[in-house]
Amino acid sequence: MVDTKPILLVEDDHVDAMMVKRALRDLKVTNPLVHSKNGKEALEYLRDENNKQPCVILLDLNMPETNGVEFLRALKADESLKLTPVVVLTVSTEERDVIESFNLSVAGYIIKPVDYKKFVEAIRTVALYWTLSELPY
Amino acid sequence: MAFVSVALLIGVAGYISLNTSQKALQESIGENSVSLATGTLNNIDGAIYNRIEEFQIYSEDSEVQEVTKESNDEFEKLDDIQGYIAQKDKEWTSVPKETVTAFMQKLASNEPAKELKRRLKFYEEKYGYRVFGEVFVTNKYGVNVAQTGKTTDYSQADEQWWQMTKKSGLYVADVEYDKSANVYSTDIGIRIDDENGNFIGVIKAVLNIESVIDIIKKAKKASIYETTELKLFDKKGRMIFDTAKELEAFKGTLDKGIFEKITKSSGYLLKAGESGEGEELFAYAHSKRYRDYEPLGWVLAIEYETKEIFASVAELKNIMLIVFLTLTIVAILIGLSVSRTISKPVQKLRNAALGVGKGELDTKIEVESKDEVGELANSFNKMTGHLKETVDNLNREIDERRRTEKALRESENKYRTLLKNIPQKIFYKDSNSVYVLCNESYAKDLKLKPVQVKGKTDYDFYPKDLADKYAADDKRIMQADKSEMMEEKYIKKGQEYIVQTCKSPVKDEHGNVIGVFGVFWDITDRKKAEQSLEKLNKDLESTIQELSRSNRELHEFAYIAAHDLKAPLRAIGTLADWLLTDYSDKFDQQGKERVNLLVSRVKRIDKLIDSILWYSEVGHNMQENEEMDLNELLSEVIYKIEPPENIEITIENELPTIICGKRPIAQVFQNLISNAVRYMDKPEGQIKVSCSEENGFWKFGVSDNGPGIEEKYFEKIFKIFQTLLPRDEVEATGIGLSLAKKIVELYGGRIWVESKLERGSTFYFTLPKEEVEVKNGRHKANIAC
Repeated sequence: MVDTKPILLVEDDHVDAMMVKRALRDLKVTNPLVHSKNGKEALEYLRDENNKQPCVILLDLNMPETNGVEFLRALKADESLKLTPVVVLTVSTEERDVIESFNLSVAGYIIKPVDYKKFVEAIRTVALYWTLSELPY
Repeated sequence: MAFVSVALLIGVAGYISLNTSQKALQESIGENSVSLATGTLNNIDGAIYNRIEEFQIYSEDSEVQEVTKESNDEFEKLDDIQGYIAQKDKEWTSVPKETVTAFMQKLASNEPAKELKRRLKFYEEKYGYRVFGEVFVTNKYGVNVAQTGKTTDYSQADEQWWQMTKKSGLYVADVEYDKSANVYSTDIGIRIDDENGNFIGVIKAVLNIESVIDIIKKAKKASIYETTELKLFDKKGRMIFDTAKELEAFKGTLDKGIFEKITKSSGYLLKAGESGEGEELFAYAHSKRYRDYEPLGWVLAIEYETKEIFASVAELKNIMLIVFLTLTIVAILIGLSVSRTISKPVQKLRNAALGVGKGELDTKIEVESKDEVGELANSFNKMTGHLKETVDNLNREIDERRRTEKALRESENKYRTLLKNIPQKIFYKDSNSVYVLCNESYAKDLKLKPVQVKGKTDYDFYPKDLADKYAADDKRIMQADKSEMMEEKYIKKGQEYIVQTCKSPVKDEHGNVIGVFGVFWDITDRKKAEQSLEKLNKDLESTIQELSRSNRELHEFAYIAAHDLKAPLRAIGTLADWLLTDYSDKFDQQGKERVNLLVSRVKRIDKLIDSILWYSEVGHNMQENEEMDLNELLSEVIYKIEPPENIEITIENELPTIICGKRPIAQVFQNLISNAVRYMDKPEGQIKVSCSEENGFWKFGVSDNGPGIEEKYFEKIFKIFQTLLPRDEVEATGIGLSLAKKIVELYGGRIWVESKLERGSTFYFTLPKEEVEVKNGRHKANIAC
């Protein structure tokens, strides 16, 4: 990842967000983290041209108002936004959620482990991957 | 028979002709006899008159005349002539018979007497018998003047014959038997007249009528008939001579009845025979007048027994009879033979014809002869044959027709009975929707008899709008020429019903629609049932929908709940962990332990939530069934479980490929095997997976050599959240087996355990082959357990 590009975290749960933040800090990931509490906010952020476009979006599916899937749809409908890689970060083991997400061209689907340590490992892998991977823009 | 009758006819004809000829014969014989009689009588007459004539001539003899005249003169001189006569007569008669007085002698010896005697002798010699018995002459006073012999008395004047002679000139007395002369004689009195014709005396001659008798006898002899009898009798009917009773001649009289009949001068008749003799032909002739003299008045009758005279006829008759009999016999024989050749066959023919007429067409005539009769018989046979054929054909046709008729009648009856008894209502309306007929059942509905329904329309039975509908239907169906089945309203006894009606157009033989035929039956109940069923179905559907919805809701709820639960759980877990990490120096050992316990409990809840989620998911997220090679599946499952090194998991035999949902079945195996792993208490753990086929089920087994399970827990363990060991010892949710059970039972199988404490347990579950069978034949071959 390009160090300067932010990571957009779309997560409603407070503790979950803390977890991501802490994990990233533990992993010494320097990208700034933008935290949107729900899809709507996230979309607003994304559409705001003043904001820096994130290099990756970490998306929770289970959110009030605009839930994850809706956000994804909106994102992918938007020409300027649709290329942003999205990694779903969710508790749902539902296969249908997985399928739906990949249908909507998510770049990955991580199930949040209950164990924090395992969670950190997961985040590390994601970070590593996206450090390596080229970005579409 | 015919011949006999012909013979009979001939016989009868013959008989008639015979009779006729007999009659003719009779007549001829009769005539002949009459002629004979007449002739004979003529002879007799002639004979007698000849004699008479002679004496007549002699009476004219001068001697006679002289003596007579002399006497007369003498007497005339007397004073008392009568007295003298009387006296003399007295004298005469008082003398005995044999005594001849001189007086008498004188009379017997004078010249005339001599002449007379001479004449008598002459005749005697001539004819051989005493033709005359005595002859004497009397004067006009009736006293003898000359005599051949002694007479009975002197005066004859008082005697009838003398008087008769005097009167009529000739008198022939009746024949009498003269004892003295022993002859049958008749007195003949001849008047003597002088040349002037004055009565001067009488000659009496006693004529022996033997000549007459001779004549008669001769006639009899001359007759060719044996039974000829001649009878001569006088005009009084007194028998003079009867050839039949020779000795008794001069006695008896002719039967009065006959006598009365023989009034003609001559003739014949048939009379019954006397004294038992047969019928006789009686021919008679009266004596004729002889010259001037009165006829003798004799009747000569010739009798023949008709038997005899007609003997020839009788013979002929006999011959005739014989001939007739013969003829008859011959006729019979001929008849028989004819009958044999003709009439028998003809009879046969007739019989056969009769038989045929009666209907026995099997009659056949045996053809015996080759002639026309035979031909006839042949033709007859042929004819009968044809007839029989025809009749047979006809009969067959009739039978056929009768059978058809019978079948038709039977079927008609069946239909009629059907129509009568069928509960469905049946009707037939014409092209104007007027009822032509209907069955009992319908009529009953209308509270009428079927015959009463005829001629009415629906407007008579139903309210206008319903009748309109019916009529419209009828019209439509008849126009379109198409049958229709419909459900419609029906009113019976004021109540509304729903009926199923089938109306069909009825066509005549030309294809024109002439009416509509309808059948309908009450479906109100069914309709109601249908409606209820529909309602039920709707209810059911809505219930199902409800259920589905609630299920879905439930599932969603579970899902959401799970997630919503999990989030804070995770938070707790994470925060607890951070506590440990960030404030580890603040916690003592006990504190750290407590926090760890906190974390572990959190994990448990998480697992529990997962289990609940899975459990609730099963049946919903069953996934689509796919062909699963269980061997492969099991490898995956085992891999996922990551059994520790001391536990060996083996697949005992090849598992089949079945169609099932991957996750559920995998889950079952996973649960069973992971349980086996978790609870393994032996250093060398062995878990074996097997499969067998039983009664249409796949029976899978997961067996271990673990601690085993007490029998009393066999059922309990399948209950949800049941664990056999405290949760602290074994991390088990207690949901694995119940989940497996749920899954297996969802497929229609069964799950149970067999176990021995300390030794191990085997968990079995079955899956019905039907449910999981790989339908593709190709794969069946793979199933080799």
